[in-house]
Amino acid sequence: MSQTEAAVRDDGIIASVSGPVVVARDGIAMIVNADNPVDAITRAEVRALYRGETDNWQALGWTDRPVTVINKSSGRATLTRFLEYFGLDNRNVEADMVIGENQQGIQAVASAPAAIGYVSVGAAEYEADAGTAIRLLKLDGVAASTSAVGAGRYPLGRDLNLITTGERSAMVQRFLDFARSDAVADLYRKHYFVPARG
Amino acid sequence: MADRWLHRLLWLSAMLAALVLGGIVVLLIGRTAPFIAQQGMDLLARQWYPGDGEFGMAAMIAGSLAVAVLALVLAAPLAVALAAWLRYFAPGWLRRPALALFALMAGIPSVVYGLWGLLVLVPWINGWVPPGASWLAGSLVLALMILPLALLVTDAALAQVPPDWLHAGAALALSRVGMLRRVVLPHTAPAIASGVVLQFGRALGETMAVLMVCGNVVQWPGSVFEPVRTLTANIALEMSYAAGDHRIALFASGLLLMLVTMALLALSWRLGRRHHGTA
Repeated sequence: MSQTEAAVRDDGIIASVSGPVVVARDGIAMIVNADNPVDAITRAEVRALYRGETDNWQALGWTDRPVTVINKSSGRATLTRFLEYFGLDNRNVEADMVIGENQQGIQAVASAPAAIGYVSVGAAEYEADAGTAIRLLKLDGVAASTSAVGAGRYPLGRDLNLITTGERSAMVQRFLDFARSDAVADLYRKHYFVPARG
Repeated sequence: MADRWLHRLLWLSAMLAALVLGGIVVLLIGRTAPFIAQQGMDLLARQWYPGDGEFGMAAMIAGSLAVAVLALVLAAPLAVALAAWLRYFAPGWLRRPALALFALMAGIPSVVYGLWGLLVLVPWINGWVPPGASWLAGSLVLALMILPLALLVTDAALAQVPPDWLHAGAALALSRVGMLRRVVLPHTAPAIASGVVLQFGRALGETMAVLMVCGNVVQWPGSVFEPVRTLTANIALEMSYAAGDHRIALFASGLLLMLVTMALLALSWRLGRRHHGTA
C-alpha cells in the first residue's frame, strides 16, 4: 500500500494514517423531549434554529415557547459532521447549552421540554427504547433509525473507522478483515451501530 | 531509635508529596511556556475558537469567578448562621444529628449533586426563566456543595472560643445575641474567613457538577439566568478530543487554575495565622 507515510507528532497525535477502514455506520439524530409533539424537521429548519433565526417552537408547529438549542463542544467529530452537513459555522451557532458526551446530551434533552439537540442515532434509539423521555425527529422526511442508517437512506450518517499507522502487516490486515466480518456483526448491533458488512 | 525512623519516614512522605506537586507545576509550565509566550495578550483579548487557533480565555475566567463568587455569597452567610444557631440556640438534642447530617452531605460525590441539579434544579429554573442551565444553577449546586464543609469549619472555630469568655459574658448579663455579635463572632472571624476562602478554592475547582448544570456556552456572564462556561468545565469538555495547541491551551488554563488556588491557599493561611496571633 502506498498511503503508509505515517508520522506521529511529538504530542502523540497521529498526523497521517493509512486509509481508514469503515467497520460500522451510525448517524446523527436530531432529538427533542418526548413532551414535544413535533416529530419531523427539515435541514432549513435546523439551520434556522442553530443560527438563532428561529427561537420559538411556534414556528415549528408547537406552542409559544423559546427553544433551548443544545450544541456539542469543540473538537468532537459529531460537531464537525453536524456543522458540515447543515452548512453551519460554529461562530454563528447561537446555543443555549453546550454538552460533551452523547449521554449528557440525551439527559439534557430528557430534562428540558423545550430543548433540541443532536446525538448518535444508535445511542438515541437505545435510550428512547429504554423509556428515556426523548424523541428522534425525522430529518427531511426520513426517520432517524438504525434501519434507515443501514439501508443508506438516512441523510446525516457518520462512519466508524479503524485507522492504522505505517505499513499494514499481514496480522493487522487479518484483524481488519475480522473486524469487518460476519463473525463480529452482532457486536456492532449490540451497541446499536450498523455493521459495514453483513 | 524507633522515633528516629518514624521521623525519617514522615519527612520522606512529606518530601514526596511536595515533589509530586512541584512536578505537576514544572510539567504545566514546561508544556505551556512557549505557547503562552507566543499567544501573549491574545489569551485574554480574543475569543475561544480552538478550531481556528483562537484561545481567548477571559470569558471563561470570568465565568469561573462568577459562579464561585455567587455560590459563596449564597452559602457562607447561611453556613455561619446555621453553625451559630446549632451551637447557641438550637435544642441540645438536635446538634449532633444535624452535624452528622452535614458531615454526610460533605461526603456525597459532586456528580450526584450535578445529577440532582440537572434533573431537578435546571428544569425548575427552565420553567421560570429558560433555558435553565445557567450561572444561577451552577452557583446553587455549588452553594449546596460547600455549605456543609463551611458549616463544619465554622462550628470547629466556634468550639475554640474560651469557655471563660462565655462565662464572663454571661456574668455581665450579655444576651445570647449580644454575646454572639460582640464576643464570639469577632473572635472567630479570621478562622471562619480562612475556612470560607478554602471553600472558594473548592468552588473554583469543582468540575463535574458545574459542567452538568451551567450550560457551558462560552460568553461573558451577563445575567444569572444565562449559561456560562467555567475553566474546569472547559478542560473536562474538550480535553479528550483536543490536539496540538488546543491541548496546550487547556493545560494553560489548568496552570492558571492552580495558581489561583495557590493564591487562595496563601490567603487562607494568612487569615488563619492572624487568628492564632490574637488567641
